[in-house]
Formats: sequence, C-alpha cells, structure tokens
Amino acid sequence: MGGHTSFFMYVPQFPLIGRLTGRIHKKQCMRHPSTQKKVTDSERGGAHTSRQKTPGRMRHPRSKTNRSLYNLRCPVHHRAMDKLELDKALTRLGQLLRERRVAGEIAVFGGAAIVLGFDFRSATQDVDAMITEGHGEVVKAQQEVGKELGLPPNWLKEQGTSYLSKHSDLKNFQDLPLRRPVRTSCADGSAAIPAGDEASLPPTVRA
Amino acid sequence: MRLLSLRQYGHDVQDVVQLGRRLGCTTAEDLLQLVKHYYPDEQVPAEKIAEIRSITRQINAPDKP
Repeated sequence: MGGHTSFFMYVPQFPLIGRLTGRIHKKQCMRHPSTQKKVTDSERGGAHTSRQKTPGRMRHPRSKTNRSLYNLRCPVHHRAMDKLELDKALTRLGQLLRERRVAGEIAVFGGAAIVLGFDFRSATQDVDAMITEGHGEVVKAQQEVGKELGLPPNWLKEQGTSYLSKHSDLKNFQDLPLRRPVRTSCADGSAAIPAGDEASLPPTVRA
Repeated sequence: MRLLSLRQYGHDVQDVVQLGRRLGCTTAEDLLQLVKHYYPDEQVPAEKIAEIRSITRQINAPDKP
C-alpha cells in the first residue's frame, strides 16, 4: 500500500527528479549551449555566425511567468560561488595573466563586489565585471580558470556593464587585498591593497 | 544599480537594506538622491519610489537576531 501511494506521489514530481539528477538540464537550462540556436548569416543579415538565446525552457502549463519551478536551474550553469571561491578564481586569473606577461584590469560590481567587500552576503552566481584592460586575454584566461576550477562557463560576465552609471569613474573602485599576484578593487571601497612593492605587481586584475 | 533594478526574486532588496544601513541612508530621499547622483538621466517610476519607501522601513527596522 505504502509503495503504491509513494509511486503516485512521485510521478508529478518527475521534473524535480530530473532537476536533482541533472539528467534533463541540458535541454532546459537557459545557459547551456544546447538551448542556444545557431543563427545563420541569412537570418541575421550579418557576416558572422553567432549563437542566440532561444526559449528552450519548459513552462508550467498554468504559469504565466518564466520564473516557474519548471525553469530548471541546473547545478552546472547556476552554481553559487562563495567568497573563498571568488578569491581563488580571481587569484588564479591573475596568475595566468602574470604567466603570460599581460596586463589585465577588471572592475567587479554587483553581487560579487558585495560578497567580496562585505560580510552580509555569502554567495553569488556570477561575477559582474567590467574589463578595463587586456580584454581579450582576460576573457581567454577566465574561460581557462572556469574549466580548471569547475565554475560555470560564463562566471565572469560583462552584460551588467550596461546598467552601470554613465559617470564611468573608477574612483569608487578600490583595491581589495587578495593573495598576490592579484590586485583587485571593489566598489564598496572598504579595503585597500597593502602599501609596498607596486612595481613588483604583475599584470594586474583590479576588481 | 540595485535601487533601479529591485528584483523581487533576487537579493536586491536585502542588499539595498544592508548597504543603506552601512551608508547611513535611512530615508527614501537619501536613497533617491543616490540614484539621481549616479543616474541623473534616469526617471524613477512611481512604483519604484513606493518600493524604495517600503524598503526604508526595513532599513530602519531593528536587526533580527
């Protein structure tokens, strides 16, 4: 009797089971490449082929919004990063840039800046950043860091820059003391890099 | 930025409450002045202003243990 009841209890929750096991996330997670449709030249009228997001999400039949339980947030592409993990990722990013002798500078804002600069929030899903120096190399390095540390593919993203103030002054962004060789700064201005051998600092990553 | 977005499903409201406390911005006018300083061209809709006013109540409320 009990087994019979539990069978019927679990059938409606099938998408949840899929969500937990990650078996169906590839089809439904918005951040997975398989949910992004390739657009041909003729469709977009341009010279290059790019990927465009398409609604690959499943919507609950009675839901009028996209924020339903059925919009699966897979653990691969929506993983939260805590302060330690952010520190590790940015440090590794700086190491990679140093090895390549490239100067890079990023300004971190949004949730990641709050996680790094304050203690009231513990995690963020991605790092909103503006790459102000060495763009190509920083992007390449962040992809490598993501693969190396098992972070979501777009853990460092620039989409949020369009919401930044048009003042575009980085005076409010101050250095955060991370482990060398990374130099980062944070929008809250709560911390500063220890004074000292600035010249010995490598290609820098400021956040 | 948080004040302009104020998404209900994210951390925006909690972030604004905590940041407002730290910056000493305890009134809606203080918060709106911040928005005006950084986004001078942005028109804040009336709904957002109402939300900001309700958030100031949270800022001024005592911390939960």
